[in-house]
Amino acid sequence: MLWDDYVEDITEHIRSRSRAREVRREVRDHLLCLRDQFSSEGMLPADAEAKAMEVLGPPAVLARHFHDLDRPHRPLWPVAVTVAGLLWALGSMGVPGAETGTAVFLLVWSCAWGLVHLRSFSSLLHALRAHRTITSGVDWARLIPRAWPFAGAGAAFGVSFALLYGLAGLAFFGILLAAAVGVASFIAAARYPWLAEDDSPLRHPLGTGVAAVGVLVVMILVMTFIPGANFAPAYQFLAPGQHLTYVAMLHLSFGASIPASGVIAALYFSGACVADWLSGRLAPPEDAQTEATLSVE
Amino acid sequence: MRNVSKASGRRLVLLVLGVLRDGALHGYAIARRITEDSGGVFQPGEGLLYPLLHELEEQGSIRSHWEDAEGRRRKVYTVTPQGRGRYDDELARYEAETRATAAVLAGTEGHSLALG
Repeated sequence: MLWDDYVEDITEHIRSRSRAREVRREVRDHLLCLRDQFSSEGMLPADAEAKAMEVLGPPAVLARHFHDLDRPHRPLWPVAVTVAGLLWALGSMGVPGAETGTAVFLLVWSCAWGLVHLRSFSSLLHALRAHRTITSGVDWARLIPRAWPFAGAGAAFGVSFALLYGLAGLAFFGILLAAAVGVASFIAAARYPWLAEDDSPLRHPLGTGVAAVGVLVVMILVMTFIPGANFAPAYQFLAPGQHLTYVAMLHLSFGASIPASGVIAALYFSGACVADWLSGRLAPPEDAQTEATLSVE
Repeated sequence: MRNVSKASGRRLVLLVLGVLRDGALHGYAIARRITEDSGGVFQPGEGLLYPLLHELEEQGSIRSHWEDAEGRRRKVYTVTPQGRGRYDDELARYEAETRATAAVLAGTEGHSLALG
């Protein structure tokens, strides 16, 4: 019975059910082996069982390591659902193209997530050994994490921007969506297990969030200077409170702490304000604000 | 897993891949083999061995299958060709670090002797 609690404490936070099932069986088998070993050394059965758990270590420590390992398996659907819900809300408010955008977003999300899982990228770099200062696959593995999140975010943003803004003509909505996909893919990529080989600050939830905000600010700055882009409708809906809520939810979905999410949200809002100021739209027209309030009501 | 990036974690990766190069083993056997072959010098945190094994499997360095042994179902691990390549890389790194450490210590000892 004691073992059941011990094993359950280790596996309860593993999100992948198949992994949790395997770990449960492996740990239990290991406990049995240890118990047999200690019993053969003359230990009483109860003492042998307790000693077996002691040798395996505190369940909280093991759980934390499995929890870290579990991150890449998270489908991150809470984030996708959050964004899709936001888009659906926009659609219900009469924003043109929102329904199509929601479907496209989920499609792009799935594709971006699939790209993140392309392990062949690592193998390819390893096989190339193209750079003379890099002598081993381990070196490659340590370099990939630094470049991958940014490359992934850029690619996801570029593809979704082309689809939504360029081809579908979704204007501000397409740009907004492209930015959301870019930032989401950045965070997803920054959480990839290749980072486990690296001591990059991106590995820390706060580091990931700060870097994500940096990427977002760059995206906003880029979008600000797109000729003809009209952000006024976007700012009607994405009021400051919604900014904070959205980003906090996004960050919390990745298991970050609440204070870290607060810092991220504050930075995000600051970046949005700077971009807003740069675009000359710091204060939306009063009639637009009134319309937005009425439409929300 | 953060501990893999540390020196002790890297050594454990090397030891696990090295042990598995000789044949398929389950987790408990891997831990025993490392402890016994090292004369008790290396005693891997046995609980932490499993997150490492799962991580190595995810990275493609090892693979696993379930088999029946002594009336129990056990998950047995084997090293992959990719894992053998990684083992060579880790071994080369370990040897280079060991040589460098020895060189530094030799210099220190020589200096001490000269003073003495």
